[in-house]
Amino acid sequence: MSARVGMSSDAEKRAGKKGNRTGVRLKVARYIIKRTLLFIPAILVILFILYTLIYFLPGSRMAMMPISRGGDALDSLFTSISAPDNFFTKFVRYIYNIIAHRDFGRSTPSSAGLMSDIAYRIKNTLLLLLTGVGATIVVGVPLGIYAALRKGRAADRVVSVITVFLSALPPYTVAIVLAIVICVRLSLLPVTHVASDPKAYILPTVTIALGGIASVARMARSSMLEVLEQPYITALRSKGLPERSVILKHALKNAMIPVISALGGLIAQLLCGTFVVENFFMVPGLGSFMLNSLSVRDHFEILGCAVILIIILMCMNLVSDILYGFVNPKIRLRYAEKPARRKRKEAAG
Amino acid sequence: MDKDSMSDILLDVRELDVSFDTHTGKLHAVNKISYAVREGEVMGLVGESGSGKTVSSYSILGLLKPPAVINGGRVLYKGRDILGLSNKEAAAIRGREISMIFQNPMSCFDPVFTIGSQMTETVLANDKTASKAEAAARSIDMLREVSIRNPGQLMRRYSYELSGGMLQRVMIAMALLCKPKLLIADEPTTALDVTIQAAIIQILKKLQKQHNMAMLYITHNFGIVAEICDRVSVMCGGYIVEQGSTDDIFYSSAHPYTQLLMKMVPRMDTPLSEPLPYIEGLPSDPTALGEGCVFCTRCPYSRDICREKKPPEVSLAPGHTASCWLRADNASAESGRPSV
Repeated sequence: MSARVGMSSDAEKRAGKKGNRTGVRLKVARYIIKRTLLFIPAILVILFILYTLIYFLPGSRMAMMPISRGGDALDSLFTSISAPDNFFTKFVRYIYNIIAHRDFGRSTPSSAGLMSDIAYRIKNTLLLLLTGVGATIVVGVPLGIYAALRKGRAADRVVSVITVFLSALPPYTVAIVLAIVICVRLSLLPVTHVASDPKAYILPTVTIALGGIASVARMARSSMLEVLEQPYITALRSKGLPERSVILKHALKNAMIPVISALGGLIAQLLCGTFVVENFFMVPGLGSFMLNSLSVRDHFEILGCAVILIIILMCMNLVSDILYGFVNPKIRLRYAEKPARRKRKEAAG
Repeated sequence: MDKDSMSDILLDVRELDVSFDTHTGKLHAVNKISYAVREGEVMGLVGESGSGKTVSSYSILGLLKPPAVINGGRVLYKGRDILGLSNKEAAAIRGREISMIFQNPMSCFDPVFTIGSQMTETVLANDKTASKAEAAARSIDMLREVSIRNPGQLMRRYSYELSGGMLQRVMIAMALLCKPKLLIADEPTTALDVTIQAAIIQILKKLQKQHNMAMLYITHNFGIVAEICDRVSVMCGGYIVEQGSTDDIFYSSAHPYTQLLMKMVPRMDTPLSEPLPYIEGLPSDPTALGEGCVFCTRCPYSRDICREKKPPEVSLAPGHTASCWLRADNASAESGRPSV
């Protein structure tokens, strides 16, 4: 561990000595491509673990899957090596079907297959998640910064009370209260999802975002306060910079570093939130679909949904990692110099 | 004070009084101190840790934040009171008229912007007519003046890629970018090792002469004082206890505190086996300053009157003053003069 730290700091110095920022940028692009390519083995490993768990469930439909699809390339390979019908060949068949036929398997011969069922649901879940994350950042960060700049005054106290209150509330409570007040009492918005009505997305998004806003606002506030105490802020003021640029340019960018690094975890949290919210507001999304699959024990659908959720999460994590490198030059250099090491660590964690 | 040369006084601090509101009560950091810096002069502000040197310098530029409270006094810069200016008014003075370099160069740069962007931004903030290219060119010239060999490349670096000595040079360059009339140097060499210290002081001395700039040099190192200061103010517990030219302070120091401080400077010729000397006792608690002299609890010559009343400021020679009862007695009647 210590050797690794030593090496990476050496690497930073080397990169610095070159003083070649375009080179760094190129390497960062390469890092992003490598990270994306690494999705493939990571997904395979996750698939294998989940497949194993589900395969050995009593009465698993995975175990009942035939190894022959009836005349494709894999079938001829299987016949030529006279493959036995076991766990491994079934796993190979499962993966092959996903790649070659975009087929996540069917529990009953009559079902239309997972992809045609959920393409539209993915859109709904992604819409909720992205608007939720967007609202979280757009509202949470300015709220936290505002509270930090008004530290100890009435505005700060109000924000603190509200954020503590909101982060203590689970999304299902918020959903019920919002539905009763806004939909039932005030009849401003529809209670359940109506596909044609974009207003139907408002309450689910608000419910998802509220918890996120609370935690992002608290994080932004504390990190802004910490940055404002740093000697370099005083040094920047002493150079005659206008207060606006000290706060909005320098302090803000530094304060965003911990917020962005926490974004990956926050997105996972919000994704869980969408499950509850989709069910409550009857939004036909991935979460409600998956809960339904669980209740009817449709193992193919469960596994398929899990894989899609994992891909969504991995993409979000990659985006937040890239953003992190964008605000933090130290991380950018590390991306440029040590991709292999970082990836291994992240795949493990 | 120098009544004879009031005209060329650049900075005139009068009865500046700063305290901190803490849980345990008011902490008096700076107690009605007065000093003046003339144009082109280097004034040293010397004292032990916690004697109020830094706080007094921060208040000149309005950099103090709550819980610090300025209770009174005036800071006249070119005859204009600059204490308690709004952020906007203060920004017009900072960098352009008075600028400052800080104790710990490693933590005084924004880590997420390059050195170059921080330097050009300083130029642009203080000189609205400058273009980006001019600002960059001026930054590079200035970096060359502080003996940086590869300024163009350094501009693209981040602060964490540079050593402390390099950063302190960059900080000096940044402070002098807009040709200030006064530079406040707050222990600029404390965080550096000794060989780098010497180089930094040489650079400061050279640039101070070249630009004919006044300097307020805050330090606890008498070696540096002897090296660059024209005049010295000695601070103890938030009071200025003695003021005078560097020669006055070194050759005829009048206050027991100054004398003891001088004795505490380690000498080359003392054997290594001997422990380093120190002033007995602890600095007086700034939340509970007594009626008497701030140094009376540690002063080897303290008498009853030292504990009861504040000593008056006594003029010993033109420009040389000390606040001590020993000297006051000496001034009023030639009795009880200690042989120190």
